[in-house]
Amino acid sequence: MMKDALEFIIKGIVKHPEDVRVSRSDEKTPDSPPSELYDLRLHVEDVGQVIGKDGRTIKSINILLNALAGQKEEKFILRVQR
Amino acid sequence: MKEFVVSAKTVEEAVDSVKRENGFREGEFEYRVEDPGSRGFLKIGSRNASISVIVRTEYYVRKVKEFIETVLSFSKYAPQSLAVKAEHRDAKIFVHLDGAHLGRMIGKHGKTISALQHLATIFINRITDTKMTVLIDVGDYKDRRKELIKRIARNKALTVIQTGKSVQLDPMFAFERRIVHETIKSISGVQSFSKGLEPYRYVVIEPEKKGRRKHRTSPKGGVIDFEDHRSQAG
Repeated sequence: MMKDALEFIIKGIVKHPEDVRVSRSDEKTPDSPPSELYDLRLHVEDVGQVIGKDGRTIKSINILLNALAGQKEEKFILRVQR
Repeated sequence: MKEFVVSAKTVEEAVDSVKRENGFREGEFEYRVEDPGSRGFLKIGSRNASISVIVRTEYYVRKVKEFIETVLSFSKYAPQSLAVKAEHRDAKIFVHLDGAHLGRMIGKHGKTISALQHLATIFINRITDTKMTVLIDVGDYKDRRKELIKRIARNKALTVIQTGKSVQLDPMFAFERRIVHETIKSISGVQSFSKGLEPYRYVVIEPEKKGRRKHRTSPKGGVIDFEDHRSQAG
């Protein structure tokens, strides 16, 4: 399950792993086939860390997730919230 | 390295609690007795023992290895024969992945290795005080890529020498641009510099100008020219 992978990676890089909540959203995305949308809830202090400078970290997570899922094209959308 | 003080009734108890709480294995930490403690006499003058614990790099190397192994275990094509080798030098941890079907873990232009490397570096810096870097290689990918970049740089240099016109290379990672600069430095008649903003920063090779310093690099994040805007929008 990609949700577990996502949760493991994020918990590994934040200061407050106990505050990490990952959930799959049912919301439809306009692209086809629709992307998988995940909502990430984080401790306020960790939001910057997870996004990273110029979004580098969140992008890295997305790239890795796609590779793990065996996708050629990016199929995940990660939405960060505090 | 990380160092912290732990006290308990006796030195042995302190050592045990350190091992238990941090999951240290043999050889992953050292300690120094700061105070051997004293039982006192009839509880009068009794004093706790305290030790200074020094975490050794071996611990961080194991942690990085476990992190990467777990991440890869989520793969749809979980590599059965995955071998993760990790070693360290200075503040760098080198991880070497080997096994079948690892091609997809490299990604286009090493995109996926870079992503994993970036995340593993953040992971390790979360648990250590000193800045550490994780470097990951899959198979002999980086060696082959290095040779390829050297070859591209030499070929382009030849074109520049023959035509007298400068040539732009495709955007590259910082370590790849460094290889180009090093290669160009060793060829007379050409010089190189980097241009553009990350992640679209690229190398320009041009004919060597007399009386100029051979190797120059434009300031990072300097002037954005029209081309950079276009590539960032695209």
